[in-house]
Amino acid sequence: MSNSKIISAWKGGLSRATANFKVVLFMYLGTFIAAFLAAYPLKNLFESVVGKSPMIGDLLSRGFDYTFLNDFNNNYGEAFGPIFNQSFVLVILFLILMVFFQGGIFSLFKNHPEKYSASTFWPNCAKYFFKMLRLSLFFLIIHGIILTIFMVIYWNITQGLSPSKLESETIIFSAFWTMLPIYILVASIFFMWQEYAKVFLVRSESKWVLPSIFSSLKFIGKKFIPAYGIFILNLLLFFLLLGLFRLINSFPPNTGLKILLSFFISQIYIILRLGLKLLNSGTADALFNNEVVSDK
Amino acid sequence: MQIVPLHMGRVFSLFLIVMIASGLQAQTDKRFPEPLSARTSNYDIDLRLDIEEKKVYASQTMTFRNPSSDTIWTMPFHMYYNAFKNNRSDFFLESSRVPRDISEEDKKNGTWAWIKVTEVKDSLGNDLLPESAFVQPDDDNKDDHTVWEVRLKEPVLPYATYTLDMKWESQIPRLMIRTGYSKDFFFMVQWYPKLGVYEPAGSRFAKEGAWNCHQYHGATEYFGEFGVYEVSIEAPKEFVVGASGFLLEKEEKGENAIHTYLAEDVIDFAWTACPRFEEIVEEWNGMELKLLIMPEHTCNKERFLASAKNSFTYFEENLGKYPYPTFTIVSPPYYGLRAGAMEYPTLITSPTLCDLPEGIRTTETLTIHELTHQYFMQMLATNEQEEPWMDEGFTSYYEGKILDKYNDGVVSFPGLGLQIGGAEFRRGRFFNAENIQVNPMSDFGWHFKHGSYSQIVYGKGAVTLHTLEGLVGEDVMKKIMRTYFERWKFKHPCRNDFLTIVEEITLEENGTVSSEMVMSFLDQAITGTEVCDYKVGSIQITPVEKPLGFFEDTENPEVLKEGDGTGLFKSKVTLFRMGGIMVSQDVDITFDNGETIRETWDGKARSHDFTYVRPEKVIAAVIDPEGKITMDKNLLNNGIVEEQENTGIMRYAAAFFTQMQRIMTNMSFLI
Repeated sequence: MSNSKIISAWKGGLSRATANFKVVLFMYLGTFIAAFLAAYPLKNLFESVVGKSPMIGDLLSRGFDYTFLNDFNNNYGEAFGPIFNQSFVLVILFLILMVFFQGGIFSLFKNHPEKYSASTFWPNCAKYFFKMLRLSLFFLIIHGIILTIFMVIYWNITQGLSPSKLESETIIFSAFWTMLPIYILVASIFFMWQEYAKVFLVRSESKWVLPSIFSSLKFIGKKFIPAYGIFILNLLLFFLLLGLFRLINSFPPNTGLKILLSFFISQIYIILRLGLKLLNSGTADALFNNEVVSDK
Repeated sequence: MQIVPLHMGRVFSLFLIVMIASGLQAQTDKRFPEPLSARTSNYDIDLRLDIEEKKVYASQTMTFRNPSSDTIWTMPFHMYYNAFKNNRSDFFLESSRVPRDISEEDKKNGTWAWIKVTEVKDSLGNDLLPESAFVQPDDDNKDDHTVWEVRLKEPVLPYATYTLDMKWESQIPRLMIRTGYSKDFFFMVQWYPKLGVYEPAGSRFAKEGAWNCHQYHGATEYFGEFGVYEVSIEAPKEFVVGASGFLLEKEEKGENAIHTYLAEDVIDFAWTACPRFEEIVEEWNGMELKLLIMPEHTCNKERFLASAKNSFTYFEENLGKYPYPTFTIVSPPYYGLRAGAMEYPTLITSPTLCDLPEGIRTTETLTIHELTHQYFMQMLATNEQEEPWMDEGFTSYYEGKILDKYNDGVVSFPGLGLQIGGAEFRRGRFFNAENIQVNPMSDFGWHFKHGSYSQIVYGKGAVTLHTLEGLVGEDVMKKIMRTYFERWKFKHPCRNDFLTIVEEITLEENGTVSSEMVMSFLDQAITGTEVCDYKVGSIQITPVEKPLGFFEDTENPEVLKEGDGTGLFKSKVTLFRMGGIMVSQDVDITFDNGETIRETWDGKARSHDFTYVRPEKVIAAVIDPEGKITMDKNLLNNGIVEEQENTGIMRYAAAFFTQMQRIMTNMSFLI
């Protein structure tokens, strides 16, 4: 029974994601522009400061070059500061953009699950922005608390990594590798909850965020197995995608052509990765639709 | 017919007895046939380790042979456990991080470590205890009890031998740095009253005969006299014991076992005991390689042994053979991590973790580094307290070379394109120091009061020697080091002794670089604080015009006509010396026809130019093209290549670009 619900919802999510693939392109464009704005000054910095250094010639073949990076950092390192600060700001801006997109995405799923509609997407991005922002902040705190709990448990198990207290270092690593999958599985519940809260937020048209949070919690409480099953399925897809990317992109980019090829593969990965995010949202909406709307 | 087997049996039995006897002989006959050193200070120590009280009770006979024509009336001893006696010792005052390691509970309970002599007599039976006192040769810190001076009733006559009998006990510190105990692991170094070094006039920097016996400082600890140590260690029999030298005999005594070790021609003696040690012994190249390792670390045993074998092979080929019959690597437990990676005669500690990826060569780096100390400060017994760079700098130099030869550096993940060489890592650490000019490298260890000790002593020392090698060439460098080893092994050299050899050999070899320049560089690097940085400032190219205007004929000026170009270009390459260190430089100048010429600049002026008037334009100028002078703090400005291929920059920029995208998409999971 659960399996069929999972499959049905996953198919629904997939159709939602493919129908609204343009949204993935918007998100991708966001990453592209932000990454460009971060990387371009770095390229200019290298070119202007050491562009004529004979060491540059070796960078292509060596790739990571400790001496180059170390000498650069020691002699011109202050120039890195503004670039990294700007990159940090760009990441934050991108995350805000993602928050902005959430209202539009779930409105599309609600109103036009089969076809992208710009007139639905953009106004609803704006309409739900502040609610989605509050929701994101709420869950950011929740995720922080979960992570802190796990870190405290780990810290206690490993007795603060103290050499004078531990019998051996084995516990440091075994506890880490044992707790990591447990953390992923537990944290997944809260990430999943976040997706359903967004579904409820858009579907309920509530003025406040909290009712959606509670309603979604109630919903995943009732439909935990299919909801969690779908989320884990999507998570496995993510690991599969990551593995494939690592495998395909494992060659050293030591010629102009290889740099281009590696860059191209990375872009495909980013698009698919964002597609997975949309799929994850789509499956949540589809399950909600199958379980609540259809029942009505 | 039946007799024959009986005879055979007897012969066989006799053969067996002879074999066993010769085996026993081999066991005990690891003594050197001839002394390798002057054997000035010799110790015979019987000790009992009390694992409950964490104490050592010992009796010690120390025999000193006066190496000078002086008459000596005092004898100073290092009492280094007293560094942990109170929080006002030099060691604690200088190592601000250490006191935190004493727990609040220990502070409340007054748990401090100490060593005290309860009886001291000369060979005539004179009680010398009342006349003895703690002294502070380095400062006026009366709370520091790490040097104890015995005032003799009968002097030590010139070249005479003098014997002192002592009884002493010590409270072992909790392992916070180098020595002490942690749970059932005991690592015992600087653990006994150890005589200072008497330096006759003319040796090292001594103008007149005097004792050299410094207090225990945060960063430095070694300067010892060569001698023979026979040490009997009584410990619970379930404890596995390891020590400097070789095991002479082991006998059981009730619940305890007495392990007697003999170490000849060494400057110190260290030992360790722990019931959890696994003992891995391998006979290799005429010596016994021993690994005392925790069961959870045996996965790395081959890495330890391979590193040791590689290092000994390297030294045999490049410096001199390791003469001792044993070498012991102690890999401490995690709870003994604060024993650190340390070096003692024929015994080192080298921590390891099995869960670290193999590409992180910490196990190899530490083993190679500490093993190298068998040469630099153990056999070439420099004063680590006064000239730490001659110990750590030389060691770091060889550490980089051995790592690069056998292990692909300190970090090696070829699949990820990540590799950091051993020598470049040391160079990087030097230039990463907060202030690379804070002290000259030649300073005493405890004079580095404002940081950067390890970066300068280890890093600058290694970089100085790498640069020396670059200047004189690999073969000459090998000759210098071999001569240094042969001439000074089992003695106490100082920097002047090394410099004398460098000068002697560079004069003899008469290479491309003058001896004077090499010596000048070493002087600047060792006793100075200036940095080395050379830069190609610019390449300026201007077309050469034909002569214009009035010359001899003031009526008809030379004027420019169509097609009057000379077809020549004036290329001017300007070089700058940005740092204070002056060293001669090779400069490669490349023209647009592909021709490269090698110029030499003495590197003394603040700027210099090479100018060429040729049909070809200069397209590249590179200072030190072979990368000999690693002392140069900025290798990026060492050259200008016009129309440089910038695909390397694109590789970095593309990597940063995609990494940013990945960070953003991964973080979007939070939304």
